[in-house]
Amino acid sequence: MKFIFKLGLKNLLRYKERTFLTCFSLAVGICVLIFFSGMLEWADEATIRNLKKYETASMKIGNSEFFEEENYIPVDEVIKGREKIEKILQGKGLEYTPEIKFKANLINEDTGDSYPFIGMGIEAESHKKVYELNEMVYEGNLPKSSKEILISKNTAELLNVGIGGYLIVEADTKDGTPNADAFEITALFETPNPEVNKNFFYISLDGANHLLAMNGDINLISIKATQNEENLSEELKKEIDIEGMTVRTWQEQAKDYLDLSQGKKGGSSMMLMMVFIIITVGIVNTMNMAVFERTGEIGMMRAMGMTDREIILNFIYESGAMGFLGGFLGIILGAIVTWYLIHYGWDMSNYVGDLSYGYRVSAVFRSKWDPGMMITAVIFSTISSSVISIFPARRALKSSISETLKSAGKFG
Amino acid sequence: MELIKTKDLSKTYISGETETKALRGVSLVIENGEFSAITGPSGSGKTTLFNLIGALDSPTSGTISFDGKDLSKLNKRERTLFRREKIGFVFQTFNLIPVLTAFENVAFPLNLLGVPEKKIKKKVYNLLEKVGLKGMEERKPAALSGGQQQRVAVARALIKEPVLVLADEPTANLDSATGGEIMKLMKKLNKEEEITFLFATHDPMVMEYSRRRIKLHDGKIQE
Repeated sequence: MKFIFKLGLKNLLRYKERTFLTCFSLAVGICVLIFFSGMLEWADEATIRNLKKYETASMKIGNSEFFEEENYIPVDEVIKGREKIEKILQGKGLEYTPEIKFKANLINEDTGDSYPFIGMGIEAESHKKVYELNEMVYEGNLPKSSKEILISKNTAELLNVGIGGYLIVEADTKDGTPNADAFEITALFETPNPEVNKNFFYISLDGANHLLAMNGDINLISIKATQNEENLSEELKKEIDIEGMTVRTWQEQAKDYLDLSQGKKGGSSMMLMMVFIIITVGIVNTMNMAVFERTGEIGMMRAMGMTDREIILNFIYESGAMGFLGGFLGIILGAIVTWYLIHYGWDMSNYVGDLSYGYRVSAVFRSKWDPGMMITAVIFSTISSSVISIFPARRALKSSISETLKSAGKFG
Repeated sequence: MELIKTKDLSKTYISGETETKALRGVSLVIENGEFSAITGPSGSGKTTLFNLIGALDSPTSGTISFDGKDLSKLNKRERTLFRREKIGFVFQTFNLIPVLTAFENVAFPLNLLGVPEKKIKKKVYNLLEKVGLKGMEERKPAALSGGQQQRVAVARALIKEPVLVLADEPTANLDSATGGEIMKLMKKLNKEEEITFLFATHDPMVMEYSRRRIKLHDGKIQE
């Protein structure tokens, strides 16, 4: 069957322009596929990294009531048996940091601007060992004294304040009494996690304790895991064994995002299917034209004793080779796009602004090498192109040989 | 010795409610080694008879045997393999594959038969030399004249040493001088290789070269 394969390849050169255009459209489709797939992969990976580095840590220990009503952030649902818990964590050699999470309004007294935020009372030294926020702070450090506040660059712009300025933090205390205090902005941060940039500010644990009248209580302990998170979480749950206390892994904390991500992947798959439908239409059109134009030739080959199987195989090779070439070209284009995005990124801030669509990534979109996707794309493109060609070829074989020769005006 | 024998061969085409009787009870014998022409005006049934002899179509009634084998009893695949082994076709408009060279076009039937490359090379070069195309082996059809293309087509029909060559209006697209050359070539090959040639034509020159003329009129033989 070597000569049928050779004939299939030679037929590709019969209509060079058409072959090139089909291959090119196929390549563009594959390139789009690689582009989206790489970007989604990167977005997922970066989101998980940014969640753990700036938002959820590997896991958190807290009151189950607190987690159940986390959207309302009930500051009175505090950690019980903190000493025992810390002993267990120390015994396991784990890095951890105590936190007070609370709802608050940030007010610029000069302008009267006031916006709701999530406040975090943190202990600077231990926080550095669990999170990487300190690496994203510029012109200053994590808040240490009870009157310092760390806000994001976004928040500073929103409230029209800067380093050295003051903000009023207004929040309800543990027993529900409204309270407010002035804090000096000693540093700004900007993380790759837009949710943190948009919604969070940080004060010292002492400052939060004082503002919220916590009497030394905290409501969260964040942990950095060095082993399998699920196993560690199970171990901790068993060992802590204090009524009402529980452990939440980052996956449990980010359940909403993970559900959304799965949904988006489904949507993306639909989009990828659409790309392939477009490719399929292109190939079908090209092969239909090829079969139509070669009706007489097909008749001649059948007259000379070529079996239906051999004729179909000839078209399969031709179309398959076109699919392979298109796929290969698509990989090259996709690789160029991926390389560019990895190295330079695509600044989408003008288009998406502050919207993160649930992803914890900055507006500079990047990509990730996905060799599996690239190989799959070429294989899929080759196989689907081959399979698609069977239909027009079979249709051509339905006519009788004498009819095809006659219609082409070649015989009789 | 009988090569083809038809008995009461009929072919009716049905299109909607219209019936067209293309052949009406044709009984005919073609001997081995003949160089004959089937003649007749358009619509006389030449092509239909050719299609039935070449196993491209099946008769509505009657029988057709080839070397004693009843062709009407062959299934689709058997008919294909029969054509592959026994019949050489020469078409009116040459019908060469444009992406293949002269050499590859002629080698095509041998490739289908699975002949080894080495043997193909030797046979094709010899035959192309015999039909006067030495040195043109690597040319594609577009780079050949009409006469040269028909020579390639003749070589393609003969390369597998068929029992029968069916040539439909082989000179129709050639000028008379080139047509004459092609006929001379086929006659020479008929003598040398003892291959049976059957033409469908209304070209007087082809009739002149033919040893026997079978006249068809309204689907009946008027020999």
